[in-house]
Amino acid sequence: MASMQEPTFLMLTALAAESLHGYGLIQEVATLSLDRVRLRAGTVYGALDRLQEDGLVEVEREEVVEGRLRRYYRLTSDGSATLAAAADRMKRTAALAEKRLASRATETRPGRPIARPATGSI
Amino acid sequence: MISSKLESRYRLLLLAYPRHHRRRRGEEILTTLIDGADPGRERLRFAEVFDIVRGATKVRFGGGGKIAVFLAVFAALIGGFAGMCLGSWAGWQSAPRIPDQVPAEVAQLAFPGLSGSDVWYQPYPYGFRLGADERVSLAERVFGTTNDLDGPQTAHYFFPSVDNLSLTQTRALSAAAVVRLRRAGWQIDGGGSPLSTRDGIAATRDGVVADINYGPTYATQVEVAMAGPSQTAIVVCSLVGVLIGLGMGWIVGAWAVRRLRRTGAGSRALMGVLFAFACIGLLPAALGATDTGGRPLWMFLQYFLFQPGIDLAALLIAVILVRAWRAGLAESVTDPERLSTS
Repeated sequence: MASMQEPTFLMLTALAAESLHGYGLIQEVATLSLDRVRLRAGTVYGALDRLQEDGLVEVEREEVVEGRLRRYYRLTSDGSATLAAAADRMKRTAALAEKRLASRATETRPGRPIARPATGSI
Repeated sequence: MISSKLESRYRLLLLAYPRHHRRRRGEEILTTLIDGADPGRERLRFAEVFDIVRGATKVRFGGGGKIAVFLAVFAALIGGFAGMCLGSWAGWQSAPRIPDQVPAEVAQLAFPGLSGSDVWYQPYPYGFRLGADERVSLAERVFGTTNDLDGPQTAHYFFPSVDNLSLTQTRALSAAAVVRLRRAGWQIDGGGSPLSTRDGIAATRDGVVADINYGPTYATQVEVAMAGPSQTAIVVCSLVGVLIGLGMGWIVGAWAVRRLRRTGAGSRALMGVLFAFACIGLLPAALGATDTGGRPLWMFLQYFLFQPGIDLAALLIAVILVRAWRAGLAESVTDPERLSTS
C-alpha cells in the first residue's frame, strides 16, 4: 500500500488488538483518535469492503444478538504487515520532522534581533 | 429501546445500496446504525443520510474508477436534457385551449381586409416537414393550426398580402393594429410571450397571448403567433423534467456501469468506445439546444429526432444497455449464492 489515510490506519490499529464488529470499530477509532475521527456506518463498511478485497481484514465470526447480525472482523497477516509498515513509515517521518524542528530551534538564537524590511522614512 | 419508526427509516435509507450489496451487508449496516442511535430517536440525521448515500454511491461506482463516474455523470446529463424536453412539452400541454375563432380575430385586427384565402393550413409547425401540396413562398405559408400538434397552444401565421412594405409602413400598420386590438379588449403588454422573438406587438386577453411581429427578419411580412401556456408552467415542468431526467440518467448509467464491470476488459473497452461515439452523435443537438430561436425546446428536439446523429446515439446506447442487461443475466446463472438467496 503506497500511502494510507488516517481513518484506514486507525481502523487497522483498532483491529490489531482484538476483533471488532462495525459499531465497536467506530467506537474504538474514536477512542484511539481522542474523538478527533468519528466514522459513520457508510464510511466504515466502505472501508471494510476495500480492506477485505485487499486481503488486509477478514471476517472472524458472526453473531446474532437480539435478532441483529453482528459480524466481527480481524486483521489478516497481510493486514498486520501493512499496518506495521505504515506505522514504521509514520515513525520515520515523525522522527524526521522532530529532527528538522530541533535544528531550526538551534539556528534561532535567543536575543538576536529579527531584521525587518524598511517600510519608508518617517 | 430503538424506535421501530427509526428502524423502518434506516431500512428505507439502505435502499440506496444496490440489491446485491444489501443482501451481503444490509443487516450488518442496519445493526451498526441502530447501535449508534440514541434511544427514542425517530428521525434520521442529515449526516447519517449523507454518509449512507455517499457510501452507496461508492459501491455503485467503485472499482470502475473515475471513468465510471464520468460515464454515469454523462448519462445523468443526457437524462436531464431529455427530461427538460419532456418537461417543456408537458408544460405546453397545460396551456388552456385557444378558442378557435381567436386566431382569425387577431389576424383581422392585425391586418384588416385579410381574406380567408390569404391564410391556409400547414399542418406541421415551423416548416420542419413540408407537405407535397405546400406552396413554396414563406409569405404564403401558414404555420400550425389551432387543432394540430402545437394547436391548443399556438397558431402561427404569415400573411401574403403585405409584400414589399417599408419600415415606415410596417410601423404605421403596427400602430393602427394596437388601436384596434385595444378596442377589442386586448391588453398590449409590449412583449413577454414565449414566441415573442422580434419587434412587434404582444397582446393578451383571457389568458391568451398574441404576438404580431413586423420585425426585421420578415420585414415584408406580418406574422401572428399565439401562445396560451403560462411561463410558470413551462419553467416548473421543465425543471421537474430536468431533475427526474438527471436522477433516471444517473440510475440507469450507474446500473449499466455496475453490470458492465462484470464483463471482460475487451467488452468494457468496446462499450466505452460506443458510448464515446454516442456522445459525439448527441453533440449537435446539445449545442443546437443552446439557441432554439425562441421556440419551445421540445418542438426543437422533435426536429433533431430525425437527425442521423441522434438516431445513431440512441442505437449505440441501446446496444450498451442490452450488453449490460445480458451481463447481469450471465452472472445470475453462474453465481450459485445469488440463486440460493434470491
